Parts: sequence; structure tokens; C-alpha cells
Amino acid sequence: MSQILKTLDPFKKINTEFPFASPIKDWKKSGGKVIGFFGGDVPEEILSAAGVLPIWLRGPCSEVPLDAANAYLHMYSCSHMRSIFEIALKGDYSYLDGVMSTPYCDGTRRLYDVWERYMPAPAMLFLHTPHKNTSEAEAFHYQNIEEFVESLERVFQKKITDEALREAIRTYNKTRKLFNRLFDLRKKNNPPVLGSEVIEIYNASAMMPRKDFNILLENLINEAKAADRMPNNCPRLMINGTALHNPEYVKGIEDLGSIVVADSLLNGAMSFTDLISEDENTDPLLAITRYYLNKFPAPRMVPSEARFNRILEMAEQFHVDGMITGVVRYCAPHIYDEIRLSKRFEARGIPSLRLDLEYGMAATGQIKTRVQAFVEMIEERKRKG
Amino acid sequence: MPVAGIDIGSRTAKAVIMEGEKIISSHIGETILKGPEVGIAVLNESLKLAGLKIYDMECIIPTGYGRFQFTGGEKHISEISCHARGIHWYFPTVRTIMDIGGQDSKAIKCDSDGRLTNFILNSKCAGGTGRFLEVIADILEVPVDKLGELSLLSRQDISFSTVCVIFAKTEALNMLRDGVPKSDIVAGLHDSIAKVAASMLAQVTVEKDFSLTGGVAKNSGVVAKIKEKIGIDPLIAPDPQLIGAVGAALFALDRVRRRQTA
Amino acid sequence: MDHSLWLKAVKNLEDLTSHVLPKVTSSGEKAYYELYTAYFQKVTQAMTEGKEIAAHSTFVPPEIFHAMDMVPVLIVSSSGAMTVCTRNYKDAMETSRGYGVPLETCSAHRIQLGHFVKDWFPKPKLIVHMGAGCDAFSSSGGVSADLYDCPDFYLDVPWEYSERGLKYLADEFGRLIEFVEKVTGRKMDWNRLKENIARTAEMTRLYREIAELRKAVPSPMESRRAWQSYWMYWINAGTPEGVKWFTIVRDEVKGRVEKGIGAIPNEKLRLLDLFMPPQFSFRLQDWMAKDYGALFVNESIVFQWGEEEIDPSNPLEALAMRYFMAPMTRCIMGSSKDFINDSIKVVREYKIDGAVFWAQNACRQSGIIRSLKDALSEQAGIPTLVVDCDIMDPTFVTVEEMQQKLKDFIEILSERIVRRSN
Repeated sequence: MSQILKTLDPFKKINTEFPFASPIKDWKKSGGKVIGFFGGDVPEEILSAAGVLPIWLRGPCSEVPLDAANAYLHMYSCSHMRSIFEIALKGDYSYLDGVMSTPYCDGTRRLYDVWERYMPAPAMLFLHTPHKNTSEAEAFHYQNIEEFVESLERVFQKKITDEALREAIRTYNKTRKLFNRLFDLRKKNNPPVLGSEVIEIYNASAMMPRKDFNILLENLINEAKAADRMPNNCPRLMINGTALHNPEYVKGIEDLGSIVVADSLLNGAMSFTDLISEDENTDPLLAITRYYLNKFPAPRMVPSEARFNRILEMAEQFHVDGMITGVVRYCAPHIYDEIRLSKRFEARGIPSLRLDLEYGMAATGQIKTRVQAFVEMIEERKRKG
Repeated sequence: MPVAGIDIGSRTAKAVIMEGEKIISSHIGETILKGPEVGIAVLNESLKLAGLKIYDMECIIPTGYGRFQFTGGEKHISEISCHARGIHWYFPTVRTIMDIGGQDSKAIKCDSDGRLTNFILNSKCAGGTGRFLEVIADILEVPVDKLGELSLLSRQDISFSTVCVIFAKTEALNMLRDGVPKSDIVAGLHDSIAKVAASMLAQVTVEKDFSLTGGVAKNSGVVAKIKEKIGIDPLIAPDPQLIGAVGAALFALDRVRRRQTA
Repeated sequence: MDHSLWLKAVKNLEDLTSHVLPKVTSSGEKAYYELYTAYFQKVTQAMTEGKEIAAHSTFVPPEIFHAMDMVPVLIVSSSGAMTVCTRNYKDAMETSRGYGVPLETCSAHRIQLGHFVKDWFPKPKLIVHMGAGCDAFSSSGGVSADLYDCPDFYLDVPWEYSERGLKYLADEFGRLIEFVEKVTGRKMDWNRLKENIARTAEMTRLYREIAELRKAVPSPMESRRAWQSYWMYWINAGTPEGVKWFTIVRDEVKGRVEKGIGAIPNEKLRLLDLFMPPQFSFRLQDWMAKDYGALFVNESIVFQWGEEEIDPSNPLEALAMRYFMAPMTRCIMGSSKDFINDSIKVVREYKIDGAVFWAQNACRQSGIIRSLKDALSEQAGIPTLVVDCDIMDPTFVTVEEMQQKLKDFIEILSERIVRRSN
């Protein structure tokens, strides 16, 4: 990469301010409420329509001691959830006006339980999402969402209007449309943006108002589009796994002679690829319901084949040579997902590698050896044709 | 036009000097020194043996755990690719390799050209590695290189309930206290290392021919146990500890040849 | 498929049963050996006669398969039982590891997948799994279906009990029936289903009655019987065998209460079991009772039913209601509040001295430990011991290691009791 992207700097700056980044500070200063959430399936559009700033909670971008969190969550809770709680226990999430989660996995629901019991935020919110997208599931989830809207209105003493919902849908869709443009650039032979840089962008998206974020992302796309960064022929990788936040992990993979061109991360493509219907004749809550049941499926959704096909399709579109799945220890959904997905990748002749990780880890030691051998293996395959 | 391959492992470092597909010298040294120095030290020793100087080297490629710190090389290559390449040079019919090193072990698959097709590494713990043997050898007060012989005297099957080094250490101590003969303890230990190896091999599926590399391949007890578990006689190179360095030297030769044709 | 392991396991079970039966005095224990063996014999019979087998995970109602004249077989518990009966723990676990299942997940599911990789599990016509229990539970069924390349159906379960959740789950059972009809060409016999559910309601009534009887001091039931009852409930739900089991156990327990005798001669400590103990052996519980007079008199996750009744006249809703009211699903799903509040209530009603939480290797339900421990200490005044263990791997933590911990805890509890009575 011969040229650096200047428009990446604002994202990086916000990320260094984690966990109380300046856009959140500014929001609070002007009297705004902030809700921190964890787990997928949280309809941020609804929170936003309620005038609240939704923040996607995470742990630090490094493997830190989890002494405080370990006292509340046994070590078999994944280090991802414990890292979030470690920050909370230190008081660094004390600015939150509310905490929200979903039964996305055993980790999220047990973290929510402990949070509610030991340090409840002024508002504690929980929303169930079914595992299917049948018509019954849609009717069921629509009612869940209606109920959720009512509780939110009660908590924040504010009516959530259809107009506000439509506006929020437009804003959040704008982010997704921009990400799709960015993803298109990554499909090219010489992607103008590195996988590690994309992680920086994802991270910032979780810590600031979307309207402001959209401006930054648009700037970045304009620069990246015109950028003449070095073309290369190195192996093109896709990364898979649960939410992943440490850009150093991806940089470590790329430093060993590869480029990460795509992902199926919860905090990445899974959340930023599909759009919510903006059809004026559709009830916005129904549009939101449908979106969360039909979007890029997480491992928890069934039938699993929809997810696998989606990821395999991506691998084709992004000309992926290999797939690396990072599995955080004890993350059962991804453990089983990886087993099934890797078999399907291999059946298509795309090699895959599983890395057992702790949350926040960078690519170090043995991980480097595995990744390097994997990259060398792909290079050999490519050379052989 | 000589080249060098250096394998900087966690317990030992090895260097091999090759010229036109022939090994002219090699050296194995303990990794007492830290960082890049150890690579330089073993390289210097093998240069001395070959009567060459560092500037005679057309290309140097480091591999192994310490490869990232070694700055004198053209490119670093993972020890996994190097083992596949090195073994293929000795035994072109080999498709499956089990490398048991000092701190980790790997099951490797390669194709008819010696190119890596699949691999797995053991997890963080030292269970099933050379380190495991060293720790127990220390407790039993038996030199590591005598373990193989000793185990062949074993009369009864002992099994360790764990491959965790720390727990196995306690278990071995208890057995010793209970008067279990050392030969049986060592044989039990070899058995658990072979179990780890067999389990890793099962994960990549064993295809003939099969080769064992790394320092542990010098231990006849472990070799016999692995053979027993997977039912295939392993091919073992003259010095199984050098395979990584040989592979690295072969990759260095490739680079030189590519330069010449370019 | 490779029948040899299944046949060997059933043979071992039969041998064990004929060896044990003459020595057993408890009618409950006798019934367990007989009925447990019969369950697997029925599957063997189906295998040899070519009857259609429905493999399903726990909490999927077997009543449905019985009503459609299929032979149901529980996935994770049957593979586990086969492993216990043949002691092939290592082989099963190594096999699944070889398939790519890492060690950082529950050994019960690792063993299950070992059986599927090796083709040991009876070949079913279809697989039905469920989003209940835990993530490993709801994800491993898909891998099994991949391995056996057979049609599968996933039952979606609402997060917690509500009227609309009940309706959603009832609809899911309806979809399941449609699925089975489509795959097998069979038709649901609704009358038979109602009969089955009527038996389930009877089993449930007896189960609750036994729970009431267990409040007696001294406790009239062995802890192993509680776990046996739980598995018996799910493998024989809706069958005459199921009703038979609960009748025998109820009669035995009731008889003891009436006579004022306990399950063990010398009851000193009344314990609460908070989570699944190792399932490969009940040796620990037997040892605690025999050597220390320490008995588990209730097990929150298998002996606390919800209050709502099951109405067989509306079969699908009845099955949904049973799911929400049944002990394990009730406390593992939903917010941990139910689990905690149930446990506090149990401590009071069953006069409990101390609690034990079995922290199973890789089990993420362990996230509840701190809250439970604090709640039991603050609101019920009892201490909780956390025992690290593994549900199916006897080598992960040995029985001796667990015994050491339990011994210390029993000592502490005994001192507390002495202090209290002084």
C-alpha cells in the first residue's frame, strides 16, 4: 500500500477515545440519552427514533486481564462478554442511560442477567427475536417489537412516531448503502482499502450518531475510489466469526502476505449488507420486523443453509481464496457454525482455517504460524492453478 | 551457489547449507541465546563446517518460531511449509507428516509436489510435545535421549489420565512413589504422546506414505507407539530434527533458480 | 451404519440389569433398570425390523412420534448412554475432535457427534432438534443432520413463557407435524396424540406429587431417582411406561413418608443440587449419602415445575405449556430470575442446609453461578459450593478430586449445623 487514506483518520481518532468517545460526550452534553447494547438483532432504528443514541458495546482492542468480570461471570462465559463487563465494572460505561440485549446467545443473556442484578442502568431493556423467518415468526416478532416500542416510550416519555421511524430507517439504510459501495470496491483486483482499515470503520460506526458517521464514510469512499493504492496479487481472504474489533488481528493476517477483502462478521457485513424496506405504504415497524428476521443470518438463525449459501455467495463475489474463522473460546454458536461452514467451503475448493482466540487478541505467536502456513498453502494452490 | 535454511525453534535452532540440492553442512544448537543471535550462531557454525562465509550465501531463509526476529533473510516461511518441502525432498512418496517439536506439534498433509495441502497445530499446551518428555525425563532422572531404549523394557501398560504437563508431572511423581518401574512410566508417557499425535493425524486423515519429523522422531519408543496407533510404519529422515531447515534451504534454492531464469 | 456399538451397549445394559436386579430392594431402582433397558431394546427392535426411527433432541415431544407410529430416540442422551455402557468415552470424543469439534464445548455434544461421525447412532428417517437448553444443544443437531444427510426440522422456542409465546410454540409443533407427514407420508392420528398427552398430564401430575412428598424430613427419595425421573419423563413422555415409572416411584416415596422413614438411614444434611451433576456415574451422590448422610433432597433444574396445568384437549397448546412448565427448560431458558427465585423457595420449603452447583466444563450456563450463590446466601441464608467437573468426560476432573471438595464443604456445613443447634 503506497498511499495512506487520510479520510480514515477521523475513524481512528474516535476509536482511540473508546469507550467514551467524543461524539458520545457531545451527545450527552446536549442532553441526549445513550443506550448501550450487546448481541445482534437490536433494532437500533427504533432506539434512534426514540431520540436515543444507540452504542454497540464492546471490549478493548487487546487481550486484557478480566479479573473484575471473572468475579461475576464464570470463565466459561466467553471472553467477549466478560471484556464488555470488565469495562462496565470499572465504571467506564457509567455514562449509559440504558443497557439493552437480546437472547442472541447464552453469553448475551447471562451477561444481561448479571448486569441487571449487580449494576442496573436506569433503563434495562430486553428483546426476544425468533430463530426463524416464517409467517408465524413474523407475526410473533411484530408483537414483540410493538411491546418493546411501548416500553421504550414509557421509559423515555416520548412517543415514537411513524415519521421518526421512517427517518431512522433512512439514516440507517444510508449507512448500509454506503457500506455496500465500500464492499464493491473490495471486490476489485486491487482493493483500495485493507481489511484492518475496515475494522476501524466498523468500530467507529458503533460509537457515534449515524448521520455524522455517514458523512465520514462517504468521504472515505470518495477518497478510496480515486486512490491509486498498490495493486497486488496476494491471496484474498474472507474473515468469519463473531463480532471482531481488534484491527491488529486483521493487520497481523494481512502482514503475512494476504489481503482481507470480505467478512461475515456480526459487526460487519452481517449488519451492513441488507436494507430495510423504505416503502411508504408499509408500516415501518413491520419493515423493521421483517428486516431483522430476514437479514444476513447469524449462526442462531435456521435453516442454517440460508446463512451458508449467503457466505458462499459472498466468497464468489469477492473472489475469495481462503477463509479464516476466529472462534472465541466457548463460543458454541460459532464453534458449530465453523464446523459446518468450513466443510462447505472445502467442498468448493476454498481452504479454510479455524483460529481459536480470546476476545481482543491480536495475531501473535502460534496464530501467525498458522496464518502464514495457510497463506503459503493458498499461494501454492494459486501457482499450481 | 550455496544457500542456507535456518530453523529457529523454541528449544533448538538448526541451520543447513545446501548447494545444488546437496547438503554440505548442518548444525544444531540449543536456543540459549535469545532473538536473532541464535539464528546467526547456528548459521556461523555450519558455515565454519562448510568452510564458507556468510557473503557466499546466495539466499538465506529463516523459518520456525524465531523467524520474525531474524533479519538477515530474504523472506521468512512458516515451518509448516518447510517441513512439507523438506520431507518431500527426502521421501517424495510421503503425503502425511507428523512433526513433534519442542514446544508444539503439527500434522501436515502435502501433495505429490511437496506442497502444503492441509495442516493443524496442537493447542497452546505442551502436552504431546518434546517439552512434555523433557519435564518427565527430568523427574525420572533419565537423559532424554535414553527414554526410547528404556521404554522398550516396559512390562505393563500404564496410562496417564491427562496430557497436561503440570498434571502429568504429579502423576509421574505419584507412580514413582508407588514403585512403578521407570520403564513403564516412560512407556505410558510415550503412549500419551502417541495418542495426541494420532488424534491430530485423524483430524487431517492419514494418507500413505507417512513420515515423522522433529526431535521426538529420534525416540524409538514414541515411534513404535505411533506406528501401533495408526498402523503405518513411519519413514524417518536421517536427521528428523533438520527437516525444517532443509525445507527452508530448498525454498532458498527455488528463489535463486527463479532469479536465474528471470 | 455400524450397528455393533449400539448392540454391544444394549447387551451390556441387559447384562448389567440382570446382574443388578436380584440385588436391588428399591422398587424405583428396579423399575429404572427395566424401563431404561426396554427403551433401548425398542430402538434395537426398530433397527432390526426396519421401523422408521425419529431422532430428536431432549424437549422435543416424543408424544408426536408415538402418535405417528414412529420409534423416537433421544439424540444426546442415547449417544451418551451408549458411551457409558461401553466406556468408549475417549474414542467418541477423539472422533468428534478429529471431525473438527474443539474441546471448548460440552462433552455430551462432543460424544454425540462422535457417534454420528462413526455411524454408530441408529439411522433415523428424520432428525428434529430444538432451540432449547443451550447454544451447544441447539447447534449440534444441525451437525448431526449434516453427517447423516437426513431431513431435519428445527423447533423454534420462544425466549420465555407468555401467551403469545405459547401460541407461537404450539404453531411450531403444528409445523413439525406437517414436516413429519411430508417426509414419511404418515398421517397424524390426533386421537392417539390426545391419549398420549393425557398420559403426559398424568405423568406430570405424579411428578409434581413426588416433588411435594420430597419435602418430608427425612427425605423419602434418593437423588439418583430424581435424575432418573427426569430422563424417564423425556424418553417415555406420553407412554404407559412413563406412567408406570412415576406411579412406582410415587408409591415408593409415599410409602416411606407414611412410615416416616428416609431414603437413607441416617440423614444429616439436606442439600440442594443446582445444576447437572456428572452424568457418567452417580457414585458421588451414593458416597455422600453413605459416608456423610448428605442427601440432595431437591434439584432445582429437574424438580421444580411451573404452576400451569396441561390440558390434553388442546394437544398442541398442551405440549407448548408442558415445555414452559417443565423444570429444565423453565430455568435454563428465559431470564435467570425464575431459576434464582425457584431455588430460594426450594431452600425454604425443603429445609435445605447447603447447595452445590456443578460447573460443567465449557457450559455457559455457569454465567448464573455468582447470582445464584449471592441470592441463596442473602435471601435463603445457605452457602453454595461450586464443583468444577465435566458432564461426560470422567478424566477431566476425577471423582476423587470432586470428593475432596465435597468433603470440605460437608464439614463446613456440619459445623454450621452444630453451631446453629447450640
